[in-house]
Amino acid sequence: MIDTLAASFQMFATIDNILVLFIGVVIGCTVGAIPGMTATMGVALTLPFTFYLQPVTGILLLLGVYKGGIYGGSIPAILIKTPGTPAAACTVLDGFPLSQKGQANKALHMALYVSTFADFISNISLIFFTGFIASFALKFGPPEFFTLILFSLTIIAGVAGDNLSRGLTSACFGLLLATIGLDLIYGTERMIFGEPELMGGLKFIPVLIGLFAIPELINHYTRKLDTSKRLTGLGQAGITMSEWKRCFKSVFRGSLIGVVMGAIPGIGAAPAAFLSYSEAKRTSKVSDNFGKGELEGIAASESGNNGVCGATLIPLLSLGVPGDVITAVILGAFMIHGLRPGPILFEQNLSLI
Amino acid sequence: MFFARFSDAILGAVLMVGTLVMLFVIIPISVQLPKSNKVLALSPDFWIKIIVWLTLFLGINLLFQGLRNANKAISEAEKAAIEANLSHYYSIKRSVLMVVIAVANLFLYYFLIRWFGMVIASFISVITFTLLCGERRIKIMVPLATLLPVGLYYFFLKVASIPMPLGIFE
Repeated sequence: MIDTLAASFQMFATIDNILVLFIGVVIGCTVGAIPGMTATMGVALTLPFTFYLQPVTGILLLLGVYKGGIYGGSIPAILIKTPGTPAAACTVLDGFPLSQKGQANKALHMALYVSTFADFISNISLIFFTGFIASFALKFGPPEFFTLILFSLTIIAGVAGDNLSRGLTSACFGLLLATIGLDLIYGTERMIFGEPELMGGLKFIPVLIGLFAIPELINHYTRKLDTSKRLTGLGQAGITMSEWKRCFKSVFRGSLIGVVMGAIPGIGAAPAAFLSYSEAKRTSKVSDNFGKGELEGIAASESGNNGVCGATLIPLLSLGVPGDVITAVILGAFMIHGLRPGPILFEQNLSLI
Repeated sequence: MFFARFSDAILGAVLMVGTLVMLFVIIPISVQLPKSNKVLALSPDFWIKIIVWLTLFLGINLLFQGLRNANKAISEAEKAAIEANLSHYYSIKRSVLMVVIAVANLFLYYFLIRWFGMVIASFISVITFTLLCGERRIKIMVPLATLLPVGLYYFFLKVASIPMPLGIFE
């Protein structure tokens, strides 16, 4: 085990690799911070650049973009109430209110530290628990998936606020939007009105950006400009140790939720963030502050979505099954370099994994 | 004040009308059913109808809940708080007009982007939105409406090699 880790470190610790990883993170943060450009798009756009790189260097570049992109999504979520990536949708709930209180700097710092911590936990899990978690996730069949999706719908109760009816109505509206497209059983058209682009259903990103941006638009045109207030700046305050300690439980739990959800193929970072947020809200002493600019809310959602990042590689590396769309693109990068992730690669090239 | 007090009831009524239109007009027109289907739950409109029925019940619930809350007597302090909150908003007529124009502009953008491509459609749309926002300075509007679409166009098409709709300029 130690020998393998030492060999891996030797393979990683070169100037080229570290530089490429840094460039990848910068690209990822930039792409993630632009609403409409997702981490998936960033990884896909960077993929051609890896053709001329060594396998390890190329994969590090993609991983940098991936992880940077997931973090970068929180920046516009906090500052302009528009999540840069779907994973950051939950961060809007507390990030933007905190930003409006003039504490955007605090929110951004929390998002950064928590993302780094959760990703660290996720990577440690990837290294030490790959076999165990992958075998657990592999046992999931249709009943388990059904239970999991049903469980995820119960989160609505946690995020609906004071008016549960309105929350449930929003959920029904979301479910209704999800029915648009071709029927999965018979292949017949459902509410596409002759528009071929709708056959595959509504694309997640435009829907998400629309649902967050259009209310902002409406609010802008209906609300008077308050000239008596100063524009809120980033604010100077960073995170204090007491705030970090107060949020640590939620951060740690969110990281673990991210790890488990990430190891299950097809779940993704957004549900992990919402589940982590819901759990934090349920157990927090200041649960009434959630949705009004609570630092713990940002900590929970960001730890949830970043906890997924390393764990999605677990099924990819151990079974050759990509955990989400991004790891599917990364699988492509492996194959470009003549590597086929899965049990055989595990046996033949453990240090690379 | 009226809309603030009756917002739940209005939303409930809108939901009821919307779901009834869905059930009796939109679903029959837009959901194609197979010629034979022995299992009801596998029908393409089965789950849609369940969701719409559920939304209808929620609409009814919101309507009655809203009416009940609206009829409750409120104290002077609560009334003052509602009025203070409302003072931050434009009149309902102006707000509705602005939102309708903004949404119409989004639809216009959708059609213009097909005919004239991204750059010209974005130019027109950005000008319209900035005008709606109250901006009247040409020296701000025109450079913004020109540089933003051209920059995005250049980035997506030339740098990222992502095909962009060019309309008649294709």
